[in-house]
Amino acid sequence: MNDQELIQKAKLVMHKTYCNGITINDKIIKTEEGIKVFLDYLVPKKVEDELFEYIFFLRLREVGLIELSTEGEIISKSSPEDFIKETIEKYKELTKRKEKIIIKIFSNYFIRLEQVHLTLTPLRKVLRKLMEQDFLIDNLNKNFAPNEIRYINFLQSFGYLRKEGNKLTLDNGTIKKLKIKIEGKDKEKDIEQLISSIFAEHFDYIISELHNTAIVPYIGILVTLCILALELQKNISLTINSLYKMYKEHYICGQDESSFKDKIIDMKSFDLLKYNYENKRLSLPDNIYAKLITAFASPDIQKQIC
Amino acid sequence: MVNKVLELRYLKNNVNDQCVPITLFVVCKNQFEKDKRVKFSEISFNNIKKWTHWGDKHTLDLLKVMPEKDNKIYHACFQGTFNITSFHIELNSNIRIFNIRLESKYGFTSKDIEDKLLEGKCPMIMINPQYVNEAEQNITKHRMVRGDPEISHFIAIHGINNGKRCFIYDCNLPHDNDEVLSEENIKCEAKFDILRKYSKDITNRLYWFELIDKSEKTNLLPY
Repeated sequence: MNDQELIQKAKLVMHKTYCNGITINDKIIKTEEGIKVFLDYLVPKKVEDELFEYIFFLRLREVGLIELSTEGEIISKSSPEDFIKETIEKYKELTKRKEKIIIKIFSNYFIRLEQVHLTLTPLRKVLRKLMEQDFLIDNLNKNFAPNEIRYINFLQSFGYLRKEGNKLTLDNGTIKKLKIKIEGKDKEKDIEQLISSIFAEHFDYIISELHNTAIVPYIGILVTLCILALELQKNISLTINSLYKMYKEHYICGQDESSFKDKIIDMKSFDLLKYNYENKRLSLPDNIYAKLITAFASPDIQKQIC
Repeated sequence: MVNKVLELRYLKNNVNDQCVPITLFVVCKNQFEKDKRVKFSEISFNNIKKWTHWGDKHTLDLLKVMPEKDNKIYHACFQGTFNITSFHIELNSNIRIFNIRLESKYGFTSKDIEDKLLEGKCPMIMINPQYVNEAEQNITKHRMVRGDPEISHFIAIHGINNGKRCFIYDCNLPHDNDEVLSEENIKCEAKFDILRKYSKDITNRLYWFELIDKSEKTNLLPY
């Protein structure tokens, strides 16, 4: 069989074995025995703005594999169970990757949010003190509060702090890797830059290990809205209820819709969201939307989400 | 060429991508509810869903051990999934006791649609949901499909006008509880050519319900 016939045969096997929504990925590998055809899965999603209801499809890449011999015999294929498991993993992985990229892009906006700013106070205090001087390791309890020591341990475990003799000091080598400009002219500005970068790199650790769960809804709201805007390539305006429904798909929600709305109002006052009181719809501010689209158009980011 | 529109009532809206069981159930109910040869009261939507669903057969054991988050994602991804080549097999093996079956014909013309409608049967097709972008929707908020998905959606054709324009029941569009699709209430219409364009790369089949007892078929009155 030639390549085209083998692909057609793979399509037949695919349609017989799996469910609607499965499709062939561009990645087809020719082997000595035949071909390996990778499969993608499209998950339909619905969302509506003032004018339209959009149906779009989330593409989960390489969730299945069919291997055929040159004669078109099936050498192997993913079982439906493996295809389902792989789909769930890819779904989580893709959302996590997009979340990480979005937080990276907007971390400097995020840390200015009053509630996020507040929860990061121990980190800020630690960095402020360590930028002024090094501290004796044995004396940490005297100089830092218990919640600050948790942040010291966190900074140390990720290499931002290192031991030098019996002292603890900021590791400039690791900080340089964050690619931020520490100019030394405005110390508070430098600290905020540092916090922004550390937050972008480790927000999931800060949430799960340092139990800073108060920031989760803010992350979830922005990420959910950004993902929709990216999928539709449109700054969509949604009702709070629609966003709440989509938010709950990825984020465990211990709050009702009214406290969810409070978070949206918080974000609006820090220009992270736009909320129209007349039509009760929210969207991204123009500058945030433009920044998002530009960032995701870069080949580097495209590679990360494929 | 004729103008033929069948009334469709008991319309359901698609909540979780369950176009196959919803469309089959609505069409089946309209066609057989009053037919004494079919015990329609014993055919429930949930049964049609169970008989046509793809995922459940492979996930009974998986779901038992799945963490809550994965379970939520599973339902977001696989609710209402069906296998486009075999969804009718289990359905037919279960509905035969009610004296009906889902028939299909490979490759179809507007004449085939006309003939089925004249027999009082509502034909159904697998179609790429993108067709809706080129259809006329008689609703305030239009549906629009973004991207170029290779995916199938299931719709019913409840009328045709001169072999050219088809009137469609698409459960993705909003319908009221007591709404009746009829000559006076066309919710979605598209040229036959548009339907062909978006359906020929999928199963390229026309589906319809038929009474199993062929000898009685000619006596059937349109519903």
